[in-house]
Amino acid sequence: MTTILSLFPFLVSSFIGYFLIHFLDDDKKIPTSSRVLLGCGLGLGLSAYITFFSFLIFDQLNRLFIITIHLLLFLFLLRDHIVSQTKKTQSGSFFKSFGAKDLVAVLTILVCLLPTIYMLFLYPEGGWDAWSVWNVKAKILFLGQEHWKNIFLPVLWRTSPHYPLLLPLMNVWGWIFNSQTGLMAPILLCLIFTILNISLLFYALKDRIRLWINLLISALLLTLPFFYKFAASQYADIVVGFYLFASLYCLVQARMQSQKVFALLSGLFLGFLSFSKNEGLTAGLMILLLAIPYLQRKNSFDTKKILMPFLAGAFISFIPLMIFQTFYAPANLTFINGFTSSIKPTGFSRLQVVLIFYLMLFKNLQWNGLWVMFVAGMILGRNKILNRDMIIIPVFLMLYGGVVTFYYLLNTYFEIGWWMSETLHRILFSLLPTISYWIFLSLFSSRTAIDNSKP
Amino acid sequence: MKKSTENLSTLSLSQKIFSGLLILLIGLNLFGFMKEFFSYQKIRRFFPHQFAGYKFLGLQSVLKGEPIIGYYTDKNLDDPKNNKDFSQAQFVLAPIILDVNNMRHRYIILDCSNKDIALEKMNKLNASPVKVSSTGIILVERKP
Repeated sequence: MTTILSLFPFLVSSFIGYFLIHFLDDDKKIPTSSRVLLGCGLGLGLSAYITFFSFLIFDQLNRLFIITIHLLLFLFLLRDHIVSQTKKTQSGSFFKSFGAKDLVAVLTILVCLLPTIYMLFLYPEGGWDAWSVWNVKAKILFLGQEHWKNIFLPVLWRTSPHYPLLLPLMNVWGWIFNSQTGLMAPILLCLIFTILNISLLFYALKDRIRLWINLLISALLLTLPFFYKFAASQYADIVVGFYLFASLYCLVQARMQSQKVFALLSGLFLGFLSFSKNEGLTAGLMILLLAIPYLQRKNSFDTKKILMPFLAGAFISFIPLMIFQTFYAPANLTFINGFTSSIKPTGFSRLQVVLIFYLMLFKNLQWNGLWVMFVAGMILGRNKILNRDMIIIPVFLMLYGGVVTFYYLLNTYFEIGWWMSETLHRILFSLLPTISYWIFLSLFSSRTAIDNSKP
Repeated sequence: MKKSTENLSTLSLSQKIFSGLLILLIGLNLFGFMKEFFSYQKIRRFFPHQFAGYKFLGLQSVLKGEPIIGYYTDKNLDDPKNNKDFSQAQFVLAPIILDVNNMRHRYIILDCSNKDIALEKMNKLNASPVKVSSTGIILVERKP
């Protein structure tokens, strides 16, 4: 019963997201598979935002408000969906577009999910940061009533009170039909986001590379030790990974197809990404800045057509984050500026440790040589990896890597060896869908729509 | 079979090399997982007892309505094991906030290495025990 009650809110979110994309997509250009996957992510993000507004308006969790808003949204979008379906015969209905290739993909992904499911059974409470950061916040939000703001108290410095709240809010939404918190909602969220990450990657590559290679990529990621362990850890990194990839994928599609709905979705996903974790915020702001020149076209009308929806989506989606950062987020209590501190200065030895950690990635058994393979992929696909339509991904990755490295040097609060061993792999894990999309598409793409683009 | 051979022959050399790497890596992943799986299975029955937070479960009923309480421990919280135990306690007792080493709250949890240290602390705080768990966790209430 708890499982059904925890799954039900996520199903409602998914339907809301699916119908919302259908509502926004005037030309019905988004394939059904992408509409389902992006819709699920969109709906979950929206539910987290509605839950957040309950705390802002009522100064505590108000179930009636949250459920009413969801119900109204659901009914309005369902009505729109039914009306549009009856007006024209839709070729894109979900079951009609589900073919043999999709069935093979679903079965492969389900089988390859077994390591993640096993890990979830082994550690139902999740990893260290699940209980000490994300789920503890979700519990305080859910049960704390008017004391919910206690999550920002300095005594809870171990929970990183300055972190954004997207994941805890999603968990709260997952418990909304339960009287108590439980393990099922966080576990289901892990599974949902793992499936979303891998499935979106599969469908993003589906029409561009051979099926068997695409299936191998899904199998590779799902059986990778660091992937299934972090996917099952109940940390925010799986959420960061999905919104980062979804945002960049929609941005690339917006440019390649001049589709404003993809631009709008990309902007919306950027907001969710930024509200999911501080690394997500950094990535979100960087993509926002990079997208402006990236979406430029020769014709200023064309530029406006996709840039404006992107900026509008990002603006709307950044509102909760702006409220959070302006009125609630406390200062980062685990920060010392190593460049100005005389007690804990940064230095060459810290840089050495950072670089050694990067080199160790190539021989770390938990990665099983994945980074060697990616480097090999970059070398083998060197003619395509910097093509114009995908250029935002390598530029973003390079800048993001630079910012992360700089932050490791700047913040000397933590002992660098311990800090990197705890965080570096998670950061890389959240980049995996994006990097895989970029490298595999560059290397195996049989139809370079990329080269046919109109700048 | 013929189709898959044709499929392979249409790949460029770099694609063939990369596909080979992909298959090799999946093989390594599966081998690694199976190895881990069997070692996990051997110790699986001990896993439920790894979550130290559960030893604090009984305290919630007494602390209903208390937003924040004190937490005293003579253990070094910089030690990852003790830090982990404390974080799990905070998770289990949430939404009650545990204020480490702040003895001004009405209720205080004593998580001491032995009974003598706990008794000494109780006397010092002029507090009486409200609940004592079998695992040595003591919830005390300070006398006004």
